[in-house]
Amino acid sequence: MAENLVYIINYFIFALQKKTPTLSVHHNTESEGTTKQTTKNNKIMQNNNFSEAQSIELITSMIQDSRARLARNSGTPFLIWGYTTVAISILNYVLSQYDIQYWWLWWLIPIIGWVGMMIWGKHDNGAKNYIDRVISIIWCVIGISFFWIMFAFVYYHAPILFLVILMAGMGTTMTGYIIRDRATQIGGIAAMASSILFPLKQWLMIRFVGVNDIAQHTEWLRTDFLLFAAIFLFMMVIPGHILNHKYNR
Amino acid sequence: MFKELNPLLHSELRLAVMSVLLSVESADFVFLREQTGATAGNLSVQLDKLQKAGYITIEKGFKGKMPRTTCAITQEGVSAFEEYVAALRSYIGKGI
Repeated sequence: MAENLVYIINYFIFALQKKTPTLSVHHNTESEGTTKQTTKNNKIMQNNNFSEAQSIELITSMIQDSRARLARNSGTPFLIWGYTTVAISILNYVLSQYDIQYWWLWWLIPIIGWVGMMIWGKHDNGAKNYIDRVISIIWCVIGISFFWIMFAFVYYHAPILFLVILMAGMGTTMTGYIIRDRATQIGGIAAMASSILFPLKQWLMIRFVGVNDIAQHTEWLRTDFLLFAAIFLFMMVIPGHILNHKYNR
Repeated sequence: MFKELNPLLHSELRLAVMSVLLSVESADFVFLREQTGATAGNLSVQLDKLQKAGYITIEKGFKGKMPRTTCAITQEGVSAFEEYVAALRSYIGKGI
């Protein structure tokens, strides 16, 4: 069934964009377009004698309008989690300059992020679509994994920054390919690739400083916080703004 | 040879509803009304016709304390839509 749906939707969009340039279709990406579309719909909804070309126009505009409406604010979850993580990481870096280490501060990320999602996240707009459901499942699984990573870090000193960046990068990459957004794809892939910097840096420090002297070079350890913030900036904040700019026009 | 257009789908509001439902998993009455720009009464009548034809399912429930009517397209509805599209192609030409 899903394949049929994809076929039909793509068929009409292809027909509209590539093969039927004479048809005028309302692209409902602007608020002005919404008003125009609704007025037009009010008029045509009373009419049963319409041509085949008008049928195609109607189907295409309805599919595109629904897609555009459901895609609004797609970047907001990225902005909420991205800005929260960047802010907490920088706060941790600043505090570490004064030799203050509040590890519980990291727990503010899920707390603030969750509250932010409740306030600004995507709310029930009356329709469910497949893409939103798939993306929600992906991030739910990754979110649960973050708690598991946190547990492994607290009790077994698992490399938390490496694992969090790798998994968040995987989620962002998958999201990018599902919604077909180049900036999100690049942000996710770049984050996955750069996650190796954390174990690489540790390996270099062990090799050149020595495992026993690492703790003395706190200024190098602190840079992990900045690196973590920078990766989240490129992985979520920038793609989030691009997505909102693209779909909220 | 022109194929006959399904009269149940060759009506603007019903076709609009089917197109919206095709692009989502399910949609409630308010979403459909806003997307199609139809009046509540007209939309309600057309939804009933589509349901009787087996093209959509209608579930009545609650969103909080407010009543909510949720619609979704059925496999039969998708097949009918596909046939309608095939018929349209025969009218407009294989060029599209």
